[in-house]
Amino acid sequence: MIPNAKVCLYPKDTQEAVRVLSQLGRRALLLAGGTSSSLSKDPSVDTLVDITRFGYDSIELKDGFWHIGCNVRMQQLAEHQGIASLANSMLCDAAASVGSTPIRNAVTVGGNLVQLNRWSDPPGAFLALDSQVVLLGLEGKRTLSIDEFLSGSRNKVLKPGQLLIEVKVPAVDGRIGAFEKFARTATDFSIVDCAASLDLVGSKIRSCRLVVTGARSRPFRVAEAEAHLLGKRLSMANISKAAQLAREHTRAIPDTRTSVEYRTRMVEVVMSSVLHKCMTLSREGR
Amino acid sequence: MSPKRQFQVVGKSVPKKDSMALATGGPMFTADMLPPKYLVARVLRSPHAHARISSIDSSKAEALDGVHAVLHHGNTPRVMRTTAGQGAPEPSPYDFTTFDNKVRFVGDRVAAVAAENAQIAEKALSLIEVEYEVLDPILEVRDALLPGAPVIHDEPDCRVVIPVPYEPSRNLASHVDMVVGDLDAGYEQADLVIDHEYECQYAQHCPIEPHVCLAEPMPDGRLRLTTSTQVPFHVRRIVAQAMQWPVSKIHVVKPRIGGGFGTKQEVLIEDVAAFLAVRTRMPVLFELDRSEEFTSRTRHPMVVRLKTGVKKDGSLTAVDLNVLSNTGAYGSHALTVSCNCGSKVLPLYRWPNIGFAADAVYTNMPVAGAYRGYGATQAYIAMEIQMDEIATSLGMDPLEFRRANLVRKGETSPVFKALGEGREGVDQAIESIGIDKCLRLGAKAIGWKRNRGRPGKGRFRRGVGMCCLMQGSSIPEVDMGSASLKLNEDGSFNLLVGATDLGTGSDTVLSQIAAEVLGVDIDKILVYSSDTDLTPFDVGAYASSTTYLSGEAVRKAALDIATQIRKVASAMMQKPLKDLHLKDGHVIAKDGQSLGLDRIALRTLYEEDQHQIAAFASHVTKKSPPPFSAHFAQVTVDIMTGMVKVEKYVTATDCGTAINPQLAEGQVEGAVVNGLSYALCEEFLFDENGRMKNDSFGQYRIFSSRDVPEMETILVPTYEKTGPFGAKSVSEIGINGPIPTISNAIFDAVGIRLRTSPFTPERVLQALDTQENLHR
Amino acid sequence: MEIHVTINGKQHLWQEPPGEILLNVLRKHGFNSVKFGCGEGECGACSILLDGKSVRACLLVAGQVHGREIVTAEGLGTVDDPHPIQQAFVDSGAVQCGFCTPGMVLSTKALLDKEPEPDRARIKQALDGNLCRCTGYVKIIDAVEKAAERMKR
Repeated sequence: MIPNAKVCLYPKDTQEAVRVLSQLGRRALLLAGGTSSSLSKDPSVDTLVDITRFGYDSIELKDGFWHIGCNVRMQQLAEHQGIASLANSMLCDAAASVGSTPIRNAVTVGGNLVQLNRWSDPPGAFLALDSQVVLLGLEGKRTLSIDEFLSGSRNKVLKPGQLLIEVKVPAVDGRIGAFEKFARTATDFSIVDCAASLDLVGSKIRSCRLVVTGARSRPFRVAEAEAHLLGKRLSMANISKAAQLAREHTRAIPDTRTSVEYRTRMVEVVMSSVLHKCMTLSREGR
Repeated sequence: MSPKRQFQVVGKSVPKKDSMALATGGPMFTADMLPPKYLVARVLRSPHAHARISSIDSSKAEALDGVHAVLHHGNTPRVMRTTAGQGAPEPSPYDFTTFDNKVRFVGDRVAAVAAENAQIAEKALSLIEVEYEVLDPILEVRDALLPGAPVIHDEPDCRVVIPVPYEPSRNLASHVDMVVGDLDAGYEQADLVIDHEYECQYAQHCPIEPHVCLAEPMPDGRLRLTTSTQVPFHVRRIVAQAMQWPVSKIHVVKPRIGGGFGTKQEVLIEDVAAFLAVRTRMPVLFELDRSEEFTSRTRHPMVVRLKTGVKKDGSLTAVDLNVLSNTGAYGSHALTVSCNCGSKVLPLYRWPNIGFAADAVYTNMPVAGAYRGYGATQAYIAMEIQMDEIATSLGMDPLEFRRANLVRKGETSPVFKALGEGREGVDQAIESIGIDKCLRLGAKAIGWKRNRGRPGKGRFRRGVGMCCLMQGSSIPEVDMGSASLKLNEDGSFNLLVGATDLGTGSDTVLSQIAAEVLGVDIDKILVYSSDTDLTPFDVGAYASSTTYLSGEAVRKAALDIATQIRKVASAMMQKPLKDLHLKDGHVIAKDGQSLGLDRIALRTLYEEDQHQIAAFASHVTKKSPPPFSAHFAQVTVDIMTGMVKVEKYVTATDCGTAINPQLAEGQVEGAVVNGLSYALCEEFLFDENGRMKNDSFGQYRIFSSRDVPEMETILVPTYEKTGPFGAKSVSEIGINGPIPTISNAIFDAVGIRLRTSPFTPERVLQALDTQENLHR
Repeated sequence: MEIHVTINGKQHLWQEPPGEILLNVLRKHGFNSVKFGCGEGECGACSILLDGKSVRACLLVAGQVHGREIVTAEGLGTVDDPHPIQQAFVDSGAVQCGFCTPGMVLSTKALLDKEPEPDRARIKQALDGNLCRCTGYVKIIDAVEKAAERMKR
């Protein structure tokens, strides 16, 4: 229960939402899926701002990008046929990895990215897919790369009063991708996730993005592993080396349920597994 | 083989009587029955594992607007007792009072508040000022008995009320031992002696409905407790004891309850609600939140040392089972769970020389209690992994090795007599046993011969494993169940039982037993259970007793009322009594003439020879006939991650006659999935101060629908002469199998013996790392 | 504040703080099929259908449902006139303690509305947010299959 909330506002467009949020500052609490904000006990909040009524709840292809609105629910993303055609459905797989069905029915793409729990699955896939995020504030729109969004300090990247309104995923044909969640049970938070997307010319890797989620507080690319693969074929030996590099360059943080050593080791196993999937897919010519 | 019997209602999968009302969301649980005005209770819990309360000041909390009462050790009576919902005198030590001046685990009660809403109650808790003198805790079970260990129960008034060993000064909550035969001689004769330690972890029952109780002061000065309990009559007795009230002033009602599995066999919250209701003269609702539920009561974690001797030909020479049980801060069920480690496990095989000893020790950790399986679960881990180890060492098929040594029909075990529940047990011979068929059918379903010893190559290795199990059916010469029946004018019957349906469907099963005797459709039995004012006594739902024990009480009452009906019918129909029987809602004579039960009721209620046709019966059992079961699993082990996936799980269970096969299967399936979840992922994680770190469903995972393997549930009928229509128990046995079965399957897949549960990926991978011949 | 919400086809006007947890508000207004199990979005006992999708009432606040449509288990059927899903749960032995059942029934409804012929794997997936400790899920999955079969006809 948000103890002192007196009203709930339902801005009809993004401008109104940004205006309200900027005006109220800490008095306002933004609600989308509600899965984390509903549990807030912040006594300074007197106004709730439900942002799910201003649109941005669809997935559209335009200008070479898939535009995913911030109010798109995880289940909607997981089941979207257009997104499934992108990089062997890796983004759908990542969305389907989030919690359980009712959680996916509630959690929004925007909320998941902004909240950014250690185990949030889709941000890693967005990172592997070289996505962009669109922020809106009183000063207007700003588009920045997902790399910048995930690496910068939270308060600097997303300033108070700003909204993340859209994620743009490049609609590149022929990219190969894979995502894998590793967890104790089907609906548990992940121990580690790995995501890979590759661009092949002939059999050589022209570009690639390899992402680890869950080992640190935010998803990150493993530059050393990526560099190792550039210009090479996707062979067993190269996969093995890249996965090993991923492990070596992961500085995992402690977690209550698995040791740092184990999680670090799993980075290699899961990264190897997603790259093997990519290899199989490339051979099948998909 | 079992005699073939033809039943009308028994043996049929009739729908559970309350299931449609539940499926349509009817208001049937405690929290659905709130009066218009009531107070909410909250409990202040200890942040320390072990501390003395040097001062407590609740004046600020009491002054808060909307707070109606604050309770703590300074303003409640000190009455030492147990929370264990067992028959009187309880075999559990009297080491608990409603509020004490000492706290013994993180989460122990310090004070309680009744306020107008939850927010005020929580605010009030924060205003209670408590000073603690922090004491050294015991956070490791092996430390508890060491000389110089902190004494957790140093209060002078803790005691036992039956003559059993109890030494709180060295943290010993209970001790039991027995020897039959000559162990040394047994090991002398052996060609192979195996001796290992096995360890299993804390776990919580996780009923989806947390403990909840509504206490209401009634206009006549009595107190009504509507509560989620498995033991309404023990709640009445123990709350009366705590309050120093006569039992007659307390009325306990159990509505539908949202699962129990043993954790609601404790009087854990009713005392608090009762005290607050009396103090405030208002209804009080006390409902645990999920984190409180996690540390309410748990399974006893145990270190089990098992030593066995066998000859080369596979015959057994000796067994020695030693148990170190962690009962946590209080000794609830400490002794009896320990006893069950021996009494439900050792009789399964024909051991000529038997040793058993069990110590339950206090620690400053969450309190253990009754949990489905009740000690058998823990000891079967040791027994059934070690049976596999012996078979492997002897080069025998683990199934055939077990089969050769299983107890047989007509045989007994000295353990039955030697080990009771806190006293000597009751000798019994095994009269119904279908384990051989369980083994045959289970082995076929899993493809035992075909799949064993073929792990394959590559990352995912496959293995199959199995185990054998038994349990009991009620506590013989201790537990009592009773029932009453009366005939209504439309030929329906009110069946009143003290027995407690915690979702198992016992109301339905007991109705089927009555309907079978009375020759009526199940819809004609109006069952009402578990109300201390209205229904006769029953010990409650535990020890796998309801079908076998309370069911026999129902059958007796039904036989009695059937005779009364036939007598009236005899007079009405002018037929000899012996020629009359009950069928299809009628009394039917040999010549085919029939008379409706409604006619008989109308006559006796309104017309002639007026009286209420009614009967009462009680039952105490002389035996605790074991159900038997064989479990089989096929697993894959990911040798890169250590992840174990159960692909298929097969159970074959002899529960005598399954009164309602669908409900019996449901008991097995529910127990097995709980066991699978325990085997693979459930555990308590503690910080260095003894605080449970994963006390939420988010962190402590239990299996969801997606984690469940393909399951095959086979019932193998036998006929137990002493049970109603041949029935034995079925509810607990299934939870004992998954840990040993999966451990044995992992061995088949990758050649490692896991003796510590749960088999988390990290633990399995660690073990795999020690395996030299494993080619990754 | 004033919250307009449609529940089981009927319009309701609540005077409730918008920050109150929806589960508490629904129970206060008599929708007892919506259960408290954990209060943290993990057990699914408080499942409701919000605009046709199964969600948790313990992870929503009242303000969020203003102008929206809720279905609870009470809205599907009654003891005398049950929904085919409820009947299938009863017939399959899928109800033990029954505490998770309303939520399970609603998750089944959401699934079958979208996919009338799901296989067992899909059923397991659709029910993955509703914990049950009694049944081991086997008979619940049977019940969903049975309901799908019956509703097809």
